[in-house]
Amino acid sequence: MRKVNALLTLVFASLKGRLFATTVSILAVAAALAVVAVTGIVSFAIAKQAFESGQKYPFIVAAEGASETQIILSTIFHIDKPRGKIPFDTYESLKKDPRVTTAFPIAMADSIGVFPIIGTDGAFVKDIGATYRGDIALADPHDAVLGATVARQLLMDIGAEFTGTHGMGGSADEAHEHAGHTYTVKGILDPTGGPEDAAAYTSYKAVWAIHAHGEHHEEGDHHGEDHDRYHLSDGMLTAVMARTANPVQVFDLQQEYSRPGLTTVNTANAVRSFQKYFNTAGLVATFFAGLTLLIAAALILAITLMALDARLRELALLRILGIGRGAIALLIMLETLIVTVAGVLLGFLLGHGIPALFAKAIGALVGASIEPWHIGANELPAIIGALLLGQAVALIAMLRAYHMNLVEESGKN
Amino acid sequence: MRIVLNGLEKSFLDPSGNRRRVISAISADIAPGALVAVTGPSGAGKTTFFNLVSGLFLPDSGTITADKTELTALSERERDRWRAKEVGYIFQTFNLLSDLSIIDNVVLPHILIGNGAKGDLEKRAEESLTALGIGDHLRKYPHQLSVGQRQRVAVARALLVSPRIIIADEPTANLDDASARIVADAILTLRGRSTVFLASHDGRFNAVKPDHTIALGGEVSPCVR
Ligand SMILES: Nc1ncnc2c1ncn2[C@@H]1O[C@H](COP(=O)(O)OP(=O)(O)OP(=O)(O)O)[C@@H](O)[C@H]1O
Ligand SMILES: [Mg+2]
Repeated sequence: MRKVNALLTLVFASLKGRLFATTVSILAVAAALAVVAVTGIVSFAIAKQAFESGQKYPFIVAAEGASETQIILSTIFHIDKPRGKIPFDTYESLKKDPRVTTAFPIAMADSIGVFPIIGTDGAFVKDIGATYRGDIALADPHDAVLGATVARQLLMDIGAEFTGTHGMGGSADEAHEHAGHTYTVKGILDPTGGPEDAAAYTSYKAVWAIHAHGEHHEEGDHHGEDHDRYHLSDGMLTAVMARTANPVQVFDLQQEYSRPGLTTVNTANAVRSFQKYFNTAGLVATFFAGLTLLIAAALILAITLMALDARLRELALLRILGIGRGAIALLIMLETLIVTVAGVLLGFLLGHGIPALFAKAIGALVGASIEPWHIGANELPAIIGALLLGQAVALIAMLRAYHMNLVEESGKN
Repeated sequence: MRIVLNGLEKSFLDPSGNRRRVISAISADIAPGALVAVTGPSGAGKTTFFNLVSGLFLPDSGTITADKTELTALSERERDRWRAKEVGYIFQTFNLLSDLSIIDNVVLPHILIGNGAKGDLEKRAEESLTALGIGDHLRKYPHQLSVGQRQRVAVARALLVSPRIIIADEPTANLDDASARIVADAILTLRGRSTVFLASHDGRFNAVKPDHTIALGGEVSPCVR
């Protein structure tokens, strides 16, 4: 035991003596593993969010001409513009359909600041499932409910008034104020980490009121098709989201609603291809992390072997003092091993600690609430890989130390 | 410790591939506590001789017996253990481990080779370092000490567990006068208790008459295998 302590003292002294090389080696391993960890956390959060959306809104109908991804991004994540409009009776017929348990109207045309205004109904806002303050029924076309981020960033509380800007957080020439229609904030959702944090909700009827008869801008303001797209007149929506009693019925609905002017989305199916995309992205990130890891290993090997040569005299001294080859080899192996293990630990701490510290900011950035201590599928293999690589490097260094002819070389002095 | 050398031979391959005999036909019967002077010009094989006596490597032929132990019949591991227990080695340069503090330099190798417990060794090391005039530098590192002070640390390490053999290979070369005197005194006072092998060009040792002199040849004789 005391020999082990003495050996460790020697190991740590020598690591400290080469502080720069030691630090660089540890950081190289840590950086590679942190990348894998963060990638795992983010892709898991997005995949989970997408999966849950698939469960929550299994069937979406939107206008023709939009891709499934665009539709999901705009209706569920609110990060893309809607590509057209559909008649309101799509909503009504879905709502009446016995296979459909719930249907929600979505009319997106305006925004407040950078945040989209979702024209819908109180049932949809309630269905989000967030806790809230105030009233979220959207009973009156002048009522509005804000997501937590919107309220916080725009410094608005219940009772505050605002007007929407035409267009989806768009460019200045596209946007113009709807000064005639004033909303009053009636309710504010608590933070969820999901896309609703960054959205405002009003009644779809308000969107109609604004765009159909409430207001008319000068002719010069019209920008052709693009403007028309958001110009929701009476009786138009941008999408309908529906839930069925049985997931299989989504396929039937998809068939029935595949008609001119409409695009249907089987969310669960679409999300699966999403996930494939994220898995690929994760794989690419892991590949680069693996590359970094290999470079780190090569670096550590080079540093260790260089240090070994530089330390020839000191190692020879240890031999002369009666310390065996085995102990010297063990010393060198421990040094390398400690560097890898420290790198793995630091990488784990950074890769999860930073997401934990900035969970909210990262969550907002990716539009999904993250679980900072989630261990991604690629992380464990990466850690094991790092440890194995470290072990291999340690073994090479050890063998080299063991077979170095320290004594005879020292005889040349 | 009585040491019997019997017909020691050692040769090396030189850079051009020729075998050169460095140690040739050395025999001696050295009584316990004797002072052995090892003489010869540079390149004569003094260091090589010491490495044989300490069991660092084996002679090409001949035997070394220390008391009842035939050193030349032991395995490398056994020789390492034997050396750790019986030999205190002081040499000219590169005596210390640069990453360890002074006290650790003296104590740690002894712990590693199983020469005692930490507390006890540290106490002895402190006493010995204080006696050698570097009691104030225990927690410093080698680079913070002068060459002379460093050599005194090496002496403290070599003598810590009272080894029965002391090997001193040019122990006072390059030292300031004060340090050289302290080191020389420390080595000479061991005579009678430990068998001391000494190679030195330092006049300070001229006053003492060694019990044995092993004179190594000036010319390295080429040999045919
Ligand atoms: N490992 C080795 N391989 C080849 N030649 C060696 C080896 N060790 C020593 N020699 C050679 O053996 C001879 C004796 O070397 P050694 O170091 O023993 O001399 P020395 O008497 O200690 O010299 P100095 O007074 O300069 O220290 C030299 O010619 C040296 O080059
Ligand atoms: Mg020499």
